This record gives sequence, structure tokens and C-alpha cells, in this order.
Amino acid sequence: MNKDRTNVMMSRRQFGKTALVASSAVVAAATPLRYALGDTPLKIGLILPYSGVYANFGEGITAGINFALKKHGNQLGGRPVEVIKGDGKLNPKIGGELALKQVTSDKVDMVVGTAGSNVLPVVAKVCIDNNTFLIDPTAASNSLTREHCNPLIFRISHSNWQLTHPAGSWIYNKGKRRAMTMGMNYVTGREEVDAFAEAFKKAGGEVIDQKWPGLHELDYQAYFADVLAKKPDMMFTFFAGSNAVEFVKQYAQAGLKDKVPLYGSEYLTDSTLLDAEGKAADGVITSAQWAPTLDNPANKKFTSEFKNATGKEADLNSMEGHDTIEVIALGLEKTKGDTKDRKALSKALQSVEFESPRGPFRFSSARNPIQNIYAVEAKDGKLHVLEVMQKDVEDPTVACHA
Amino acid sequence: MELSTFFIQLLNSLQYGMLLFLIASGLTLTFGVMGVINLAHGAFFMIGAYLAFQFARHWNWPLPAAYAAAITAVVVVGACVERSVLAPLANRGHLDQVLVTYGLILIFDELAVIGWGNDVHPAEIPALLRGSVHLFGPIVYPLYRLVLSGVGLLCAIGLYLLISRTRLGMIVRAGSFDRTMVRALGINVTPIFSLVFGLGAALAALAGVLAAPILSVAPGMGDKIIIIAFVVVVIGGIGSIKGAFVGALLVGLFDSFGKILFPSVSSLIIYALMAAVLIWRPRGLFGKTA
Repeated sequence: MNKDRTNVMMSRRQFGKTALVASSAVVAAATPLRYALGDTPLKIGLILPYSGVYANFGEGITAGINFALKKHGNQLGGRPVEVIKGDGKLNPKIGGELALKQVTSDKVDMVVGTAGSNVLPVVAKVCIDNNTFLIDPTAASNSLTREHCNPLIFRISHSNWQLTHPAGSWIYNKGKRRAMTMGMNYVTGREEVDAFAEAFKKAGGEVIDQKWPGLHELDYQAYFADVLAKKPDMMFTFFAGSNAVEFVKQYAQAGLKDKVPLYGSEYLTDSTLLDAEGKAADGVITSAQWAPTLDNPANKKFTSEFKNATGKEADLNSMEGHDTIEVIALGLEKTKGDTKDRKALSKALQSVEFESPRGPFRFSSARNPIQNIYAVEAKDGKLHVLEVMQKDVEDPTVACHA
Repeated sequence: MELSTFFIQLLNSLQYGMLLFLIASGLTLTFGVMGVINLAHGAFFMIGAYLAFQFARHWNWPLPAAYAAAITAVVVVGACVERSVLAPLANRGHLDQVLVTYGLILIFDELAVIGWGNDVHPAEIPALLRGSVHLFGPIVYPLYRLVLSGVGLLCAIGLYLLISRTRLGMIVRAGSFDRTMVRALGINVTPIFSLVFGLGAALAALAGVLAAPILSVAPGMGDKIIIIAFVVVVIGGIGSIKGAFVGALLVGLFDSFGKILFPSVSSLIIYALMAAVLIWRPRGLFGKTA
């Protein structure tokens, strides 16, 4: 009895052991299959503002990303794509924590973010520390692709300098000599206005005064008396979002638009703001990397397909979201979907060249796009491309050792 | 500074000052008469702007109707807040009032986000009031801002007459000196409190309605301006309409001229002004003496 029982037990034990060995063998055999690239999803973490005053940036970029992913059948480099969205607001602390979570616990292959220059450095640091790619769809602070450049960091939009520097000599060549500037007092405003001023002075012009209203100021009337008194030939500005709407409207209200022509970077008369700005925006000229009406085949295709797919007009944000995915797609095509070999993927991404809706797109050695900058005029609620301000604009690269 | 610049800045000061006065007058009355610090006063400003925007832009009501409806609605909201939240707190410490009304700010801001989203909504200037007026010499000034200044001035005169010439005004003035005594004299202050509070809410809503085309409609728009309105109240002396008027003009002047004379410190100037006034007159320019 006893013996029998022991035997039975032994056999049970043995069975259990065998089963364990067998099943682990199956698991072991299956593992390489599961990790074959074809099935492992490519994880992309998004850190963008989905709430707060910059929510439309996050939503627009995401719309562009979703549109482009759909176009690629939700497959990049042969791998299905899994997108993990995070609301980084405009808060460096929240953005940093999100980046850490996406990189360490979600184990994303790359982070796409951010929209705020203030969140960017924190997210960049987390990505670099954890050997993860950061694709920046829009935030434009110069330093990202200058002193902070890194083989893991790619920018899709432009540097602040790149967008407005061409305007300096272009406007000078239109006969303007004495400029006044106004820009929102934070890194983007400072860098964009300063790049214009630098080029305008170099061309021989004079910058007679610069004003820096705070981010939360929405009433600009108090600055306008000084503009009337100093009588510059022109006004160059950086305003974005609701500040841009208020500035453009108030500038016209104060009767200044006809006396002191208004210029700015593309955010001043962004296509999404034109409705709100109305007639006040007519005649305002901006330096832009793109406009919905830009006449090239890639843009015609993009704007019409985007409209069909989403029912909405394409805007700057969706264009940048679209190009973000294009760049990743072309890079991964070269590495056949491999993201593990960081060096190889970095090289592959860096060599990406394609016809973007904005025109020819390629990366500089600092991984910032080399692209055309256009002169764009607002008229009757539409943006009209006047001409190319400067072809193949490249941000001045400081030695990028990394 | 050229004379024309100086003159335009004066107009700017007046316009900004009148906007602040509309908000600060309600604040100072509520505090003076009821002894209640109402941080949520800025929310009335915001709700007024949002409702006018909703009625005029989305429902296409004629502007006067939209404005009147927005202001009436805010008075109703104000009455509810006063009866349900502030009246029970009237005899509690100021810290309790600040905490509760701060909570109200968060609630109203969140409601605005839920109702209208996070976006900033630009509001149109009424068609009749668009464009600018050629005053004299080289001076051109936006018509809408002139009208805003005018409305503010009219309200100031109206309030002044109300406070200095009527029985209600007398009770309000007496109340701001000694509430207990007014009660002891047999005056039923409860309806008067409600009336004053409603008036304050209406003025804040009017300010919101008028400011919307200048400042855009956005969640939290009341929070920024309520701080400045408090500066106005403190400078002018708590409870004094005259003080609110002078304080608003002073803040308007310092802000407008600060922006072109001392641009780098312009955001600090009004607070420096407040500190200076408080050192000179700890109870504000027209505050009651202890």
C-alpha cells in the first residue's frame, strides 16, 4: 500500500518535472519566434500637450501621426506600430516623469515629443540617459541641435534660428531699413526675433527697438504708442496661438498695419488662426517652412489625402506629425525594422532624404532638417506663398562630437 | 517722450484702469459691506465673458441681448454663491473664506474647460465698434477701447451717486465702517448684502463681456485679473469705491507707462506701487482709519 503510494507519488512528481521541462523547452523554442522583428510591435511614446493652451499642437501633431501611420498600414520597417500617448502638458516635471515611464517601464523604442521648449531638455536627457531615440516633431529651441546635439536626437520641424534668419536679408532687400521687433518673452520668442535681428543688421539694417511682452499678456495696446512715435519701416514679431490672434487684431485696430507693415514667423498667421484673425491678418508676411497652399506634388497629395481621411484641413502640426512618421518609416526601412542597433538606426535616420510637403527634406550633421524657408502672405483667410525666401537653409552647426 | 505717445498712453491707462475698476469695485464693496473676501469674484468676470461669447457667437443672439443675458446669468450665479457659500461664512475667519472661494475658482475654471474646452476663444469686436478713430494730430485710437473707457466711467459715476446720494449707499457706507452697529440700529442687512453682492457680480460680468474682444475668452482668464484687482483694492483702501477708482487709474497709469519707460521691470511696477502706498498709508489711500 505504502509502496504503491510512493510509486504513484514518484510518478506524479516525475510527470510534473517532465511537463515543466517540456513546457519550458516549448517556451524556449518559441521565444526567438516571438522576438522576431516581424511580430514585435514598434513602440512609439508620444509626449505632447493634450490639455492647456498648447493642446491644439498635441492634437494636430497626433492627427498627422495617425494619418501617416494609417497610410503605412500601421507598419513601419515591417513591424506593427504601438503608440503610447502621454499628456506632457507644458510642464517639464510631468514631461520628464512621462518620459521616464515610457522609456523604462513601457520600453518604447523611441519617444516622439515635445511641443514645449521647456519640456524638451528634460525629455531629451531621459532619452539620452536611457539610450532611447527622441524624435522632436516641433519644439524648436536652437540648443537641441547645437550644443545638446546627440546621435539619438532628431528634429523634424526647424530650429528657431532657421525659420526667421532668412527673413532678415529678405525684408532688407525689399527696401526696409529701420526695424522694430516684438516677441513673446520666452526662449522661442527671443531666438526667433533675435535671428531676424541678427540677419537684418548684417544686411545693413537698423533695429531701433525691441519689446518683449510676457507670455500671459494678451493686451498689447500699451506698446503701440511707442511704435507710432518711433516710426520704424516695419515690425517683426513672434507671437503664437491666442497671443498671435490678439496681437494681429489689436495691431490692425490701433491703425498700425498700414503705417508699419507687420512681419513675423509662421506662427503669427498660422492657418488655424486665420479665421479668428480675419481681415486684420491681410497683408501680413511671415517666414514659413510650409503653407497649406505650397505648390508641390507632395504637398498637394498630403493636403488632399489628409482632408479625405480626417475631414479636416491639414495644418502645420499635422504636417510635422506626418513628416515625423515618414522619417521614422524611411529610417526603419533601411535597418529592416531593427531598433536595437542604435548606431545603425541613427545612421539610417540621418541619411533619410525625401520630398516632404514642405519641399526637399534632409538632415544636417546635427540632425536638424535642411529645408527651404518661404515668404508667405495672408490674404482673405488664406496663406499665399510669395516666393522662396532662402533655399536649403541649414542651422549653423556647432561642433557636434557626440 | 513725444506728446502723442504720452496722450495715447494716457488713453491706454484710462481704458485699462476702467476695466480694473469694474472688477475692483465689486470686490471692494463685498469686502467693505459683508466683510467677505471673495476670490471667486474673478470667476464672475470669466463666466460673463464665456456666456456672452456663447450667446453671441454660437447662438447668434443680437449683441445687446447676449450681453444682457450673460450679465443676468452671472447675477443669478452670484446670488447662488452668496446664499449658499458666502453667507454662512460671513462670520468665519478670512482664511476660511479665502480657502472656500479659492475652491470655487478651481470649480468654475474646470467647468469652463468641461463646457468649452481648453482652447482660447477669440471674441469679435461688435461690428459697429470696429476700427479706430482719428482724434487729433497723429493720434489714432481704437474705437472699441474708447467705448470701454466710457462705459467704465459711466459706471463709476453711477456707483458714486449710488453710494453718496442714496439711502442704500448710506447703509453701504455705514456697513463698511461698522457692520455690528448698522445691525444694532435695526437695519436688516441681509437683503442689502445680497443686493450689493449682485451688483458687484454684475459689474464683474460686464467687465468680462467688455474685455472678451480684447483679452480673448480662456479658462483661468479671471485668475490673472483678480490679482491685479486686489492690488487696486488694497491701494485704494478696502471698502472704498472712491479708492477703487483712484487705485484703478493709478495701476492703469503705472502699467501703461511702465511698459514703455521701464520695459524690463514693467511687470513689477504695480506691485512696487502697492508696496509704496502701503508703507505710506497702511490702510490704502481711502481706507478707513483703525
